[in-house]
Amino acid sequence: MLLSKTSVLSSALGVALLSAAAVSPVAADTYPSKPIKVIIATGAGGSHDLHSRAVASVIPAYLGQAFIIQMKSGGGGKIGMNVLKNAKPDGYTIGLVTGSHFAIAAHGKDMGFDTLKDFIPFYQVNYAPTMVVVKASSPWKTLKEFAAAAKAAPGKLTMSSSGQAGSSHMMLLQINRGLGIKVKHVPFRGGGKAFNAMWGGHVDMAMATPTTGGALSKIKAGKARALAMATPKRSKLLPDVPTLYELGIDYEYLSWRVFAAPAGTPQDKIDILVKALRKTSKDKTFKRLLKRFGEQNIPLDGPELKKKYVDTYNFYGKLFEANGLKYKKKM
Amino acid sequence: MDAVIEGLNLALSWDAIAMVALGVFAGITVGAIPGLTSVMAIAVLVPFSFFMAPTLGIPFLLGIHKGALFGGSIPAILVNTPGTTPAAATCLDGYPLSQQGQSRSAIEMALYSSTIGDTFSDIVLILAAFPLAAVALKFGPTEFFSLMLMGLVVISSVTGPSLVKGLLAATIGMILGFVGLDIVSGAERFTFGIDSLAERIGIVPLMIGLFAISEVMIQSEKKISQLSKPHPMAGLKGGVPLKLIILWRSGGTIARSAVIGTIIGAIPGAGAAIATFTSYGLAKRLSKEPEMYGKGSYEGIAASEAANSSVAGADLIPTLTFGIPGDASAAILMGAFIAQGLRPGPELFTEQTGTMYGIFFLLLLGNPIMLIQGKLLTPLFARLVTVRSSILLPVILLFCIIGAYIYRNNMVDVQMALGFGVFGYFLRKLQIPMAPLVIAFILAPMAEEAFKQALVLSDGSFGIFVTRPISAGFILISTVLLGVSIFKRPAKFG
Repeated sequence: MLLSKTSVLSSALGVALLSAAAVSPVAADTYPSKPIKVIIATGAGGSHDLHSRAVASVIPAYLGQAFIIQMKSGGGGKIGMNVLKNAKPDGYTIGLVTGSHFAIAAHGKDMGFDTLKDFIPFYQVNYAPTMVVVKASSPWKTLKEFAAAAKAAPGKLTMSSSGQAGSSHMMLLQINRGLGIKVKHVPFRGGGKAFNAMWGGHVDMAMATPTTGGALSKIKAGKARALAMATPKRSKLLPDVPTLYELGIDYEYLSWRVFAAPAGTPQDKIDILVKALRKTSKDKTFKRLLKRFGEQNIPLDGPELKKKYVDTYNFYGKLFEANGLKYKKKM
Repeated sequence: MDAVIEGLNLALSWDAIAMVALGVFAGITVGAIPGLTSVMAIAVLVPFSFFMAPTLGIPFLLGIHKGALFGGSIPAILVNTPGTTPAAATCLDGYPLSQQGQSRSAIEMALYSSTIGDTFSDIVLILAAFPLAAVALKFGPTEFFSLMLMGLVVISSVTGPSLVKGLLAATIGMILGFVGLDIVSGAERFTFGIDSLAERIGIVPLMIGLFAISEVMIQSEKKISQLSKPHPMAGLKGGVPLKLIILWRSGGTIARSAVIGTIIGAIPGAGAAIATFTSYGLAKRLSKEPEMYGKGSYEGIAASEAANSSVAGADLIPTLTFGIPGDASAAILMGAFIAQGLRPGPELFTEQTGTMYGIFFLLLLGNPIMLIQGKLLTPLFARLVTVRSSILLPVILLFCIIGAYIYRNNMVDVQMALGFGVFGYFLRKLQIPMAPLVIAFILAPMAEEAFKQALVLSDGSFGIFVTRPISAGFILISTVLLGVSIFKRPAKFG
């Protein structure tokens, strides 16, 4: 964590040095000629904060300019995402965004932005796979066994979620539909609390990323059990655990960290950023930091990322519709 | 064991130790300036700790918490004005001693008793926190609701001389706490369409407004001639160091007061002021020379200072393990922990074990640091008593505004802090206590969430709260406490 302090200091120093450079007319021709603001719409100390600071600590070497991280949390992502949407599309304001804002919340309520029109996603730092977890002391070895128990006693088994209409709630709805069971939904404030409710034995099942509540290390230590992964393919982290798709459940969720620019940002500027960001993914310090967070290095950009972004958005649109949770825009 | 070593590694670095020392220094400074309370100082300085790593920022804040509780005794002894509310009892004996030319030994007595009390309480915190956190994990929504309910009942029955005003304050706090997104239903409540309110009212702007800005406003009512006049100074001239035999004789009192302060500190809602007066009262009753109390008894200073400093560690016990703040200062510290990504609750002790050990080591280390600073720098701190309010107040206001802004880089938080400042000003004028407001602000939404979750689990049956034994126990205690506070008015505390 010492890093975040040094990165703040170094970026502050960067501002001081580079704002001096920015005044000179010669420098204005080449992009970037001044530091780039990175808007984070989630809270301080969260995974987006950590990832943005990890990138910021190595990017100056590849871009010649610093990233200045600006936390704009509040309103469940609405505030930060709108700051990004309304920023001047000159390449000097970008954001590190999360699927729970642009793909999930955008369908559930009026977020004040249009996911597909207002942003250009251009670089994925990584994502964290999410999984379905139970305590190792529970009787269920597979999701099938869990479903059988749920059928035997309808409405008795419970699953915690990170909140109403959030990623884990959507997953529960899909599990219920896919397996034809009725597991009770108990919402908590955030994934950490939801996981602990399962860990303390107050609910039967929870969704977790590898780092939520130290889930992966608990699974590896044999104290918790992953019943399924909400990933498109089996994850390298737990290759024996089947995906939800394999089990007949139409759901995937990745905790995403994606750089996006406001619509209208010139493509040549985005290309420069992508080029520099690709280099950070090979940076030793950056890799070491990711390892310390317990995260993987999964860079992705170009048309593939764009497609994934649109697909994810549409996927959730259908889910919200199917479950009658879709927010209708008032015209 | 690895975690202990990791913690030691974090704690035994020069910058970490320097931050504790800086915190203690800032705390004593703030405590020594009459009119600047520790709650206010922590509220204003919390946002600045966001720029530091948790193992630097948190010890810095804890240092302030510690230092201020001792620092408050300096003006209490020198000019009969308590620097902080809990130091009010220290005036009773400290000032008479000062008039007898014994200010130096009186301050040293305060320093030694504070350090001993604080160290004891830190040790209790460290020993209790990990097992309690394990217990907290066993608490489901049902138990949590009943525990929060008990917390709410405790604050309504112990805070302030007026039960009605205490309840009124708690109610206001509850209403403010309900603003924002309801996690169970997904509905936005009382947000008036303002996006910044959807994620609840920020605790930092609320605290800065209520505790700091309102105080600046109250102080500004005074005439400018009064504000720019330095305090008359009794001074440290001619004082002699404290005789060790006096300290030795007060040993029993210090020990007893430290235990009382630790117990009261660990009860949610009961803070340093209550601990101090309880322990002072008891010390006087049990003393061999009660007639000396109020006329310059060293034992009296020991009772007051050991008790109020021993709250510093203990009030973190419920704060860190259950997420229930022990008092207003702990409530703000809790906000700082959350902002640093250290969410109080059992998960803190299972996932961030190394960091927590580090913080605990630094907390302990803060005590000898306070002793050294107090011993060497008392003449300097004594001079602070004379700082003019006319210079101090504008500086504080500026810090308030910067602090509110950097909390979330959001102008709305500054507006809210100013709004709560005006609101807090009227609360002060009406003598409505603010601690119940702040604690209810934190507890009520947590209680409500747990309440709804429990009802989801029980399919809507309220019986769940009395059929589960731990929960039933808390409900029973709450009922008894409520009965006692209705039929027998609590003792009055300043």
